[in-house]
Amino acid sequence: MTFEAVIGLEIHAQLSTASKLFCRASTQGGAPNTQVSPVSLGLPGALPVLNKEAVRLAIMAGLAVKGRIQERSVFARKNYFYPDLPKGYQISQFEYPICLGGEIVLPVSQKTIRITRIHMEEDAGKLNHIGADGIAGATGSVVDLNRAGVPLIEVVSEPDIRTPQEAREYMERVHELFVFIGVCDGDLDKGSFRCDANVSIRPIGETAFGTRTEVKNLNSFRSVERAITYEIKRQIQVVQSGDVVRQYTMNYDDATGQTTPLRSKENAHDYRYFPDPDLKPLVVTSDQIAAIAQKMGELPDDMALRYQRDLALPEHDIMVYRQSPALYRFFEKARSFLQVATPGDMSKWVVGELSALMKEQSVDLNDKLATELARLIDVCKEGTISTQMIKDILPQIINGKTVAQALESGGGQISNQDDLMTVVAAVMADNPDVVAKIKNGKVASANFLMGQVMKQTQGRAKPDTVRDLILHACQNV
Amino acid sequence: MSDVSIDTIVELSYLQVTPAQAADLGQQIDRIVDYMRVLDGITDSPEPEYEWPIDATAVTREDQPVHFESPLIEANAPAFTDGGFLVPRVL
Amino acid sequence: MGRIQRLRTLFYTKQLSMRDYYTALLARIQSAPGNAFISFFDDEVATAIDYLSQQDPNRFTGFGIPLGIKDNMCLANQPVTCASKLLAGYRSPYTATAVQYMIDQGFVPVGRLNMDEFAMGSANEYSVYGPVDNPWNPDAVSGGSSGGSAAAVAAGLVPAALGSDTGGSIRQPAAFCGVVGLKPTYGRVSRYGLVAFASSLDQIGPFAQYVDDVAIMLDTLCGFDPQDATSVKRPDECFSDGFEWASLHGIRVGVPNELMTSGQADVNAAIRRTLSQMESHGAIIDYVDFKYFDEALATYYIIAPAEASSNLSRFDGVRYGYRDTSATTLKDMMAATRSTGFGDEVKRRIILGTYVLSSGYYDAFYGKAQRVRGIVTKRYADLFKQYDIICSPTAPTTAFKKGEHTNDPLAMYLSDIATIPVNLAGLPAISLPCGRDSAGMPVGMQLVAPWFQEKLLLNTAYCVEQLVGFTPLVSDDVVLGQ
Repeated sequence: MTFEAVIGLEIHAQLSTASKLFCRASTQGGAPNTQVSPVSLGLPGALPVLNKEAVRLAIMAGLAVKGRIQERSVFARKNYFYPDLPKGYQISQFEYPICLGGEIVLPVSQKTIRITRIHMEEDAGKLNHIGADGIAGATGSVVDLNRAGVPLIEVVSEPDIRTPQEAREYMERVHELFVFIGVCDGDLDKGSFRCDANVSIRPIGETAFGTRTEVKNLNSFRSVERAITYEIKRQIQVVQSGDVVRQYTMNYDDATGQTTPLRSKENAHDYRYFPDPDLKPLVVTSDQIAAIAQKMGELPDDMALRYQRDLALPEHDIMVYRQSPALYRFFEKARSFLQVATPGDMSKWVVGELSALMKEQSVDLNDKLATELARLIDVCKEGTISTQMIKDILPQIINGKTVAQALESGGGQISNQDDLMTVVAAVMADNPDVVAKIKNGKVASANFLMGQVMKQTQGRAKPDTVRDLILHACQNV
Repeated sequence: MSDVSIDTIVELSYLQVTPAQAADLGQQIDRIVDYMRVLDGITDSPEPEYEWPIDATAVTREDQPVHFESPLIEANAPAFTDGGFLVPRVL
Repeated sequence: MGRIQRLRTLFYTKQLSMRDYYTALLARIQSAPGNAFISFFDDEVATAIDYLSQQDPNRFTGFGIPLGIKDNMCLANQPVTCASKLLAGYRSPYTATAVQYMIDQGFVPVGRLNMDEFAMGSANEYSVYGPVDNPWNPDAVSGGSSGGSAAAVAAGLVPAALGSDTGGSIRQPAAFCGVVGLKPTYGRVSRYGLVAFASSLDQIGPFAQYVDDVAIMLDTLCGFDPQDATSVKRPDECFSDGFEWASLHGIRVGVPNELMTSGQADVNAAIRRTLSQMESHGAIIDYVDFKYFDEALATYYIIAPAEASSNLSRFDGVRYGYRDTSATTLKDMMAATRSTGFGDEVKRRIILGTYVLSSGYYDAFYGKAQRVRGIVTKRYADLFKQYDIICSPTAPTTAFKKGEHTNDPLAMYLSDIATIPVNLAGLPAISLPCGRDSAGMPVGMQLVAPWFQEKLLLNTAYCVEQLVGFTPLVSDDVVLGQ
């Protein structure tokens, strides 16, 4: 029998706020229990107050997946006991989430994965086990509540995913989208973006769903793919051995690549959800939603389409911008200052040299840099400087110089005509045949000599000047 | 509490009671729950949803962190180590 | 003139030395019988007096007025235990907003007041510190849950005290102890720093001997608090002005029939007597069927325990307070802590609350209760189209004997029948003494006004107070140190 998998993902993305969802403690982390407040410690008498910015970011996320933002949503209490949950309940939207519906289109297959809902909730704290590496064998645990109350959105997909590769692509696409619009920093190592997978199998052709398991603790794109691959295999083996799949919660261990049952869902928690009486229903007007949509800017797919169609940027550049919204925003700004060169001329440098420099040093992608970069690319386009000179000057303008200052201080450029003429004369002497061609009217051959001069001067010569010198010298030979 | 066992509710509540206490509690709660049957006689208001007369708009706040620290965090803790609240082993 | 104004004047005019007054006061309340106070803020009192003595008295509404606070309100660095073993040893790192507002206006918190554990009870017999005596008769209960607050004022230990009211916890003990207690409109007073019992019902309010004292306290207590998302923004109002001109003329008073036919006969007689006095001073008295008292009570005993079961989940022995150290694993520790830390009534309500919220029962209980809450609220809205004030006994009886109800929770719950619907609807209400029963115990009258109509409520109460001329147990002179 051949099986197919039915997969749904629940993605948890941390919203990029400075303070927590319901209190003013910082989201930055630090030494244990230093980023806390009476609210996130669950102290007696403390009350939650909703963070406005978290609402704005959640609405942006909903708009970005083309979901329907709900004008009225309700925070509920999900009741269960665990030491990382200081109030004994998690505040989460249950019956009335902030967003219903939505979709993600996978890049390669163009397959649509439907989104059921997006809701807001607070994160739990952290348990550090002592006396052993993990929970098993530990002699005790230490509770750190720095994360408790950090704002999350949970994005629940429909069970539209069929393969581990699709699951990975979906997760990557959601990640790219949220990072691009700035709702989440996307830092997988810090747990800012993670997911659980609901996995079941069924014989091909069957329309009913099989019993599903929930695989927890998927903290990277790779682990989503691996864990689901393993879990599908495991379920197939269970069925083929004549057994039935049980509704387990599975833990994924990235070290072994295996999933193991955590607890049986038959003893499922009874979370006793009810609307949180400390928080009134959240009401957002259609005007507010429209204002957020307007301020949100372009989505990556729209950007890609526009760059391809209007700017004819190469596929590679577009991919870089998809994944680096900061670079994208800088490019948008910088290209608006161009007067002579094309956006394509500039993009090559943003995606190449600038992007490379950003890996070595911190670069403030401010407006001044955008203006100067545009100037630099223009000057090159005008033929005033060589492309090599861009390489030399770029670090200087990053460090605060203007293009004019860089050129004035020499910027490495050989401005002394006598020095330059020495080089030109030497090149001409080495290439008498080319000189002859030029003399015979093949002016284009001057380009070869120019190239040689540039090579010998490491590009520090002004191309127009070199050209003039060569043509002039040839006539005088 | 005919349909659901008092033991399940006690466990969900993270409480421990003796069988005698459980029986006693079960009876008391049965009496109270019986009293609640008075609600069965009420037919729902014909009006769709009654509007709460007190302002029902959510209060929100700006996203500005404020630092909080107090020696009482540690002083109040039953057990504290390495900056965190120490609890017995989970398993 | 009430006690607050008189004491303030004595301090303003330096007829009375604040230092001497407090030395005598603390000596008196620390040796007082009755178990109303459970701890004293000696050092803080000394600091506050030093501070106030260097200030301009005109800037402070409550200049030097001693204030008792119920043991479920946080004051920085002080214990707050809700009269429970579970919070033994806990000290709050912050101050409740309402308490801070009082301090800012010169009120001086002098100590914590006894209460029913986590504010669950109607007799103040469920306290880890033991029951509170009724100052009128030590064998009788003080009422609850704010029994300590009511008893402290009645016994003349403080001119002002704060309590909290979830289903009558201010008004019923005020009635039992012959003092005035006010529950403001839900959202008027910040709940930040009030240890939650049932969040959608809880409200902090003042206790004092006289209506104008309570009005002065409300002036200070109320106001929007950005730390409480259920607190309400309202235009500024002064509740303590204009009593001299207040009149009952033309005030339409509705009296629910149900509350006048059941209950203790001499309680009803005292209420009728007062109503006829009101009528002769221009009030229009009318009897009306409220219709939903039983339903309101049932609704309350679903919603309050449901919210409480969740609110009290944070008491797990992990971060603060008491921990049962007999258990060796996490879950056992948490469950043992809660089992040996909570008293029986608290556990009963947690279990009831867990039950009504559990899957399969939510719609039948909690969902239904929310709808009935809407019906009860709407019933009040309809009544307030005909009446300015709803009036009744605060409780069906006067203070009963200790131990009388402890074995019968339902009977205890039924004694809150007049006060509970008011919390469901979030309305403001006041209880004031209107006479005494044949045994000499005080009878309380409850007045209920429309949402945010505290001014009307207090004016009416002031008029009734003048008509009744109730004699307090302890004379003003004793309280004022004269």
